[in-house]
Amino acid sequence: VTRDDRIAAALRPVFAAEAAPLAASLAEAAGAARADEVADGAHRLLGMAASVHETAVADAARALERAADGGAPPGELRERAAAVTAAVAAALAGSGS
Amino acid sequence: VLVIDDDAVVRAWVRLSLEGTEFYVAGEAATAADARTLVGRRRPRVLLVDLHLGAKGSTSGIDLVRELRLDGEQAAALVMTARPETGLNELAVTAGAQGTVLKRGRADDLLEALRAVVGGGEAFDPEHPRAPVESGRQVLSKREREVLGLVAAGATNNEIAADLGIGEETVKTLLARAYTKLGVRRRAQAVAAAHERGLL
Repeated sequence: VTRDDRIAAALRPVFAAEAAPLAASLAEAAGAARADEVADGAHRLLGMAASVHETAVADAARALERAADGGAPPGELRERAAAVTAAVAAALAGSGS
Repeated sequence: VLVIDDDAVVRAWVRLSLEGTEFYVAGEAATAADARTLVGRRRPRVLLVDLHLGAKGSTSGIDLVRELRLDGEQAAALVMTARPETGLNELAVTAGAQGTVLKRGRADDLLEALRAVVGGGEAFDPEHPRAPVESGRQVLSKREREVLGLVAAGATNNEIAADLGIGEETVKTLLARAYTKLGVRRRAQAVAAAHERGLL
């Protein structure tokens, strides 16, 4: 276990408290096609996930941010937001939070 | 170190990463306004500034560093971001920062950058792709203006790529460069900024 792993483990409660509501707000914004709001939230989640080494969440958030920045159609935004929600749920379930 | 980031997880990560080292967190700010206040009160040696501070329309980390430099602030500055950004290193230099740090969750990367800038050096993360600088002034290229013009017309990246006969990745690169040069983060902001400056 590296120092980075210990730091990530210590941050899991904070991540758990922040990530789920953020994913929910992303899904809501994606459903309403508010692309800028989606991009901002996805970017925030990306930084958060990278800090706790949640790679799947970071990847899903990065893909959502790119889609929002790239002017993706609403259907794609909703799909990618759903993938973010699923990744966050899996991360939280995996950490026992 | 003054940590300026709107995300609580990232601020906590920095705090934990500095534990047991020669550095300590002199203060934390979630907004540019709080940061300006704390810089005067805590006199940090290093400003660790998030590039994307808050939602759209808010002050960027680059803008904050530039403003603090204009106010005479001497502390070293490192700009953090969660993903590689085209031209960020060059933009950070022009704003008066001494380095850039990618949020990878690796404490050693952060410490290495902090040690470099406290020692009077620089620490620019090479993962940020370079952007061209024209005559020392950041201006939009013809291609960047074309892409932004199509964005203003409501086109998606895919449509822009087809219209200009270039790849979608190239469109993304051109847009990213334009964002950096205009100091914005999103499509609508870029179009508005380009209009304001008479670039479209």
